Amino acid sequence: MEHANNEQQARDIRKTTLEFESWGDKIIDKGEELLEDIVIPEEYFEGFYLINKTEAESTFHSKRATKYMFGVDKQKNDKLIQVILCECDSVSNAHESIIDYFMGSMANKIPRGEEKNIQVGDVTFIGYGEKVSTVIFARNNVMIAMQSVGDIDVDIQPFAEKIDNLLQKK
Amino acid sequence: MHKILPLLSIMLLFLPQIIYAQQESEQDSNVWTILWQIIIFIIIIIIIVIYYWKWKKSCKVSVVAIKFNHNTSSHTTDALNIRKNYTQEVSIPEWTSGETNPKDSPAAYSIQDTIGNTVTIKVKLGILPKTATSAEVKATGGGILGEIDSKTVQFSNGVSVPEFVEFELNHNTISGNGVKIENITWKWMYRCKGHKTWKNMDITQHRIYLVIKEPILPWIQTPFPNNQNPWTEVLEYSCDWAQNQTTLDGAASEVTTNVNQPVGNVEYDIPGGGASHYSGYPTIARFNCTAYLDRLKGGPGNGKYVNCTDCASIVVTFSNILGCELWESKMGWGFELYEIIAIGLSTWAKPWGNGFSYHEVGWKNSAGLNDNVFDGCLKVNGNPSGTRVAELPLNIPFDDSSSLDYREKLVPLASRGSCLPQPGQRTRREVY
Repeated sequence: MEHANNEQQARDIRKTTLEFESWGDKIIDKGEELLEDIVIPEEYFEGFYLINKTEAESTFHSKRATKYMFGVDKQKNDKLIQVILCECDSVSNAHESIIDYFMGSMANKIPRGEEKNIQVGDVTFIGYGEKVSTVIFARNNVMIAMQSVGDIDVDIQPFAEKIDNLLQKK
Repeated sequence: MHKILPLLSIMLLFLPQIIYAQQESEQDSNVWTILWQIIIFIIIIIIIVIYYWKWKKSCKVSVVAIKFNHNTSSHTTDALNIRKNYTQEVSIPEWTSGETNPKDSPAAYSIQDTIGNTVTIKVKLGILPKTATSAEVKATGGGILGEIDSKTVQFSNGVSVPEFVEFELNHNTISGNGVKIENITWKWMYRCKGHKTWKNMDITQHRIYLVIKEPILPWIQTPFPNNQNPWTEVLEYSCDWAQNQTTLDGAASEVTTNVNQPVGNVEYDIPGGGASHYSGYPTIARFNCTAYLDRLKGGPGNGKYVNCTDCASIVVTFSNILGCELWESKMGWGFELYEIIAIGLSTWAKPWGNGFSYHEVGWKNSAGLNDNVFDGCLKVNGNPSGTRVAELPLNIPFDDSSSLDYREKLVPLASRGSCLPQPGQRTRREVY
């Protein structure tokens, strides 16, 4: 395990561990326009309803962040899905936003999406466990962090794919 | 009775005529009749004068409003500046006529800051008839704020003068208590000028919170009102968890213990790699206390997962509202771990098998090597040399080299050099 003496060094190590330098290879020369004012349709989450949607102030490398919480039953917390959508002003800032996100995570290593054949986004990370209950990805200038946060783990891969399709259609 | 008296008087006036109408044969009946009438007339006049005199002196007093926090620039003789939550204020006066739920009339007092001072409330009273100029007022009951001694209140045009009259809480027991929540009831009574008997008026109910001393950041007293003034929704939990504690360390320990139990049905975010959900991205500098409170009340909040940053924010925020002086501060970066029991879990494990990139706890003083920590996120092995004992780190030194401390129980020797205090990053996250 690499050790750091300060937060900047820790960030640099995080980037190295996650092979940050290689992320750009997937999107270079695509010539895509920046995605803006994205709204995740509630109907994408079939069987769920939108519990709340909050706008967060722009922080770090994102210019606009929106947090969604979807649930199944108003009386229970058994199935909950949280989605953080961050719009950035460049592709590289979307990638930096993934690092921003992971700087608040305690795990030293974060599994890549490819490990479970998750094909969403330009760059994808997943969480730990049997089910795909966590997906963090960047598509163009957008960073998405999704996680099942209810008492019952929900496989969120289908929802992640729908959101990624939305971003590609824009 | 007041209405019957004049009627009786009139009947008495005619009684002799009725009696003597049947005795007309007697010669002196007319003389006696006149004499009776004069006597009875005098009696009636006396009755009317007495009745009028009493009527003129009777009154009806009522409590219109009560201010507990009547001096928002100080809290040494009155209540602290508080609010209900991020969006809702506690209006002053805290109690107004018609309120019956104690929670609608909250007040919080600092035990240490009020010691040796005369704590007061200010009360607005009304009186009928509006011509009445004074009455005595007192209240029994009052719980920790005590009963209220009688005081003569002046009135003008039906309203107390001054509008809010100061009453001393001479029988309060604030200084003799620890952290506390109590619903109190005052049974108010009044006595009109010249009257001997006390009459009941209103019964008022209030929810009183006692904290050890003035809340510390993120909670502020000035400016007021402000969304960072202490929230009663947080006091509800903090005062309950740290009930009867008289020391800051004791209060912080109780808060940390309750956070780790865990309240709110939360658990460590193993699946997400230990991501923060209540203090994390995208609002890293702030703690979503509203979402955590929702979780405590059984709502979804931000979901069941927490990490060390979330736990540090909760411990510090819920302790500092009681007057504790903790910091949310990190240690790092990139270090191995002994097996721990993470919050909400029951087995010894190394999460993900490869240690922490950083860790964050509630930390005292300058958040340095020799300063004590409160960790609501995990339990360490308190007995490394023998049978394993789960120990929640409560007010133990980070690592003062003289004893077996926090870092030595958390991090293997070879990795301790990477688990260093980061006091430059200590913070007290704003709540929202």
